[in-house]
Amino acid sequence: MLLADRVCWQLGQVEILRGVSFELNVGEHLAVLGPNGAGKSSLLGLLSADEQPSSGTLQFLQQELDQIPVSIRSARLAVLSQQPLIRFPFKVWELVAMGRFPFTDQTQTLRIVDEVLEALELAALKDRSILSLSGGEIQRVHLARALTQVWSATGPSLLLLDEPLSSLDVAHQVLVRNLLKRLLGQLPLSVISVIHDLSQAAEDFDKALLINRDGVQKAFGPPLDVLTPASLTALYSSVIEAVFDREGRPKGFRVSMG
Amino acid sequence: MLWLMLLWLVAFGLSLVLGHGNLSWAGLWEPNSSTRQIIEAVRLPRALLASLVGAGLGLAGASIQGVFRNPLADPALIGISGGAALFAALYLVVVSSAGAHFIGLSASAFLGGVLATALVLLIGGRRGDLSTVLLAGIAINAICLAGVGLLSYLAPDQSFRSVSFWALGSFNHASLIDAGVALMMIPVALRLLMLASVLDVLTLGDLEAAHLGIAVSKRRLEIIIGSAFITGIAVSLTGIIAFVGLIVPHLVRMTIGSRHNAVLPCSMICGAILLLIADWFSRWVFAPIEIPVGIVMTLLGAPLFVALIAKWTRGIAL
Repeated sequence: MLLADRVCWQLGQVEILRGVSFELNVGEHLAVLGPNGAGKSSLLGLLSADEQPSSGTLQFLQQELDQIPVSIRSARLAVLSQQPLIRFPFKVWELVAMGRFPFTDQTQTLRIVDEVLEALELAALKDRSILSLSGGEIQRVHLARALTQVWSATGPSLLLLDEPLSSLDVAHQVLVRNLLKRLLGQLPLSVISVIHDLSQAAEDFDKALLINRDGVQKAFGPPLDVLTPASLTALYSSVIEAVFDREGRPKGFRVSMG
Repeated sequence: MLWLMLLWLVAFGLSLVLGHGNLSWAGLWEPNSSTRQIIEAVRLPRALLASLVGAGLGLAGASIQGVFRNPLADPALIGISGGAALFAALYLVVVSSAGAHFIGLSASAFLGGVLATALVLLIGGRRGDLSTVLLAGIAINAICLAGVGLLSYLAPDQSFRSVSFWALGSFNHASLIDAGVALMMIPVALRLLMLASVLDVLTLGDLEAAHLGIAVSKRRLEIIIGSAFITGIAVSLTGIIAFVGLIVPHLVRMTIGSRHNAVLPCSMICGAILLLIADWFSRWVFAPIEIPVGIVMTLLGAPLFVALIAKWTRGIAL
């Protein structure tokens, strides 16, 4: 469904991303990992068609991403960026309903908004002003807005999430992780998440993509193949050890403080 | 909304009846009575113009705030009014010191509004950084008002009063022709009303709006030019009346919420009501002398503006 082939991106003279290649099928969840400033968010920017690659190709639904008409793209591709600041006191449900803007049929909007709010445990906040919410709550509201965009997907759709769990407490992290798992099973959906939690990467994802400090792709593949203590130690310049469960399977990572 | 319309009707009716001069109920029904003449020649055009200009400024203010994603933006603050006033004054002094030609005046005010806005966007808008836009707007506005001041100082006596009129704002010389010119706002206003849900989504941010399928730069330009057009016409007819476009949408949002499909029409009606009241006040407070309504609005509006800033900064801090 999504194919990146040797994608590079330059901003002025600076090379932000170099040689990013991966493939993603319907139902798969891809983790994008790398140190701060590696260009993970820039990659999401390219995938959202905010910017065009300076070389290489990006294909979505067998078409060049920038050739897809905006009306189709906006109904198939939803993005949760790092939180925009909104200064108007919209109600929670009003903000979430904006995710339905691309759809001409608005009759489903209220039902979908209610379902998404329910799924993210936001129903009680429905009529609250977004200016009165906490960081974790507003993050869930923006996630809800992105989810309403793909909630009724009938054809292959893509959800791009930039650190979707960063402000959430443990209970809500589990809620969102389980919800994404369920949606990947139910909808013709693929998800790409930029994350920092290595243990989560090993557990939730079908594929992982590692980008190093210089924006160069270091590895791509199933998480258990890609996320090794050696590759992660090199990636983050920190000593990282694997943690194994009783049967000897890797279940997470530990960062050495020394 | 229905209540607001009723309230506007009441304000409109009262502004016809209230004021200096002897009106009699009996005279209302007699053709050619002094009552009928005062109402038809003076009060009616004035009330119509106040309503249209108030509605236009309320709509332009709400649109500008939405498109700049900043509830403290205002057509006057980002230079539209200043540019319009400067070009209107230039037109008066340079082109037609004899007498104003309405179409020329409106056109040059509109042109000034658009040019000033373009300049503000050029200086501050490259990265869409809103505080830079607002600061650029304040600077451009100050320059324009200084230009108006200079013109009124240099202008020959007979056009002096009409130039200073632009900086103060007044319904003093309202005629039915003015009200007719103000009607030119209507098609543009309708277009802005149609863009209400686009404005909602634009408040999310440029990228987010683009992800939802909006051609951001086009729509933004359309909204800004539409607002500049409406503000330009308003300024060309009445001079600068500040704070209407700032305060009215604020009050509306505080009571009915932020969705633009309600904010835009309610801001229009509330803007009309507010200017009818302010106009009545400007005639009443030092009667029989009347003061320019722009002064009334600024005296009323500036303290309210400060209160809003205080409330807003507290809201962010919480």
